Amino acid sequence: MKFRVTLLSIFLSLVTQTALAHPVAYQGATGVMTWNQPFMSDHWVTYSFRPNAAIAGRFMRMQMEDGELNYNGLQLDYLVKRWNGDDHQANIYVYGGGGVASFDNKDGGAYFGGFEADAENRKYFSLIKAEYMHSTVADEFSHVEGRLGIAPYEAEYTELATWFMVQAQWHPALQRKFVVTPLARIFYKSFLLETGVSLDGDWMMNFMFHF
Amino acid sequence: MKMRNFLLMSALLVIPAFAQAKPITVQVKGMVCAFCAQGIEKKFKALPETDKVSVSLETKKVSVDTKEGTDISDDRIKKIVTEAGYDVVKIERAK
Repeated sequence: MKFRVTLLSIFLSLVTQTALAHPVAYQGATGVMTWNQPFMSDHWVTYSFRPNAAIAGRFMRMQMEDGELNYNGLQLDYLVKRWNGDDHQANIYVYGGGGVASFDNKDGGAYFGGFEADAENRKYFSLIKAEYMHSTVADEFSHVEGRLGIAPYEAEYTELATWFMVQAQWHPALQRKFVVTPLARIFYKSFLLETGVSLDGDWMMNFMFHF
Repeated sequence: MKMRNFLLMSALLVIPAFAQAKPITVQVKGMVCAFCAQGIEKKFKALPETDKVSVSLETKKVSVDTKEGTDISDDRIKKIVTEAGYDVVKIERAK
């Protein structure tokens, strides 16, 4: 019971504390985001046409147990709820769409859905997300990710911001099923760079910008 | 002649008061990161009335200097901040 309460508390603290890689940005914003690891790449181009909705093109590469799965699709991102506090912000997003998956020299239809909750203030950051993809050409793909971060200093708007984070990923259908990656994030205004190496030696390089 | 001088002096005193730029300070709720807050700066900078914009994450304030003789209504300010994803707490104008 205690363990369950602890897990629930951790989850709630993650959900109620935000991420920079928001699926929806300010109205009129175009975002380019790319996450890269040896076993998975995930590239997004988003356009926020409303303060709470964006359309995105998404391109993924996943190293499954028996080959490489690629997915190209369109999705709608929706901000379900945002909490703007005096010193924090928290968000819940859902997204879903469809496209084409390629695996083992075969192409087929695929659909994709996900959920993301994030929370941050100028010192602490947390994120949890879960994704699922079904395709007609490969095994189902699911992905759960959590992040916790801390900023060594509270950067002002015109300063370079630095964060240290730990990311945990679980994706049972991939060759690499559970990966924990300590990483560093730096950003200045609309340009963001992340890099890290997992506990098993997998590199990670992520980049995002908005315009 | 006296009357003309009086009118001229009055105009010289009054015109600068109207023409002077009025800094606007907007207290914003939820503004905690620069990566996200740059939407506010971009939106205000796009307005023809805007001369200069500065953002402070420490005080959660956005300061907008308007060009001489112009102003930005509260409704427009609220719309910009809301579309950027934040909430307006209050709007202050320098007197």
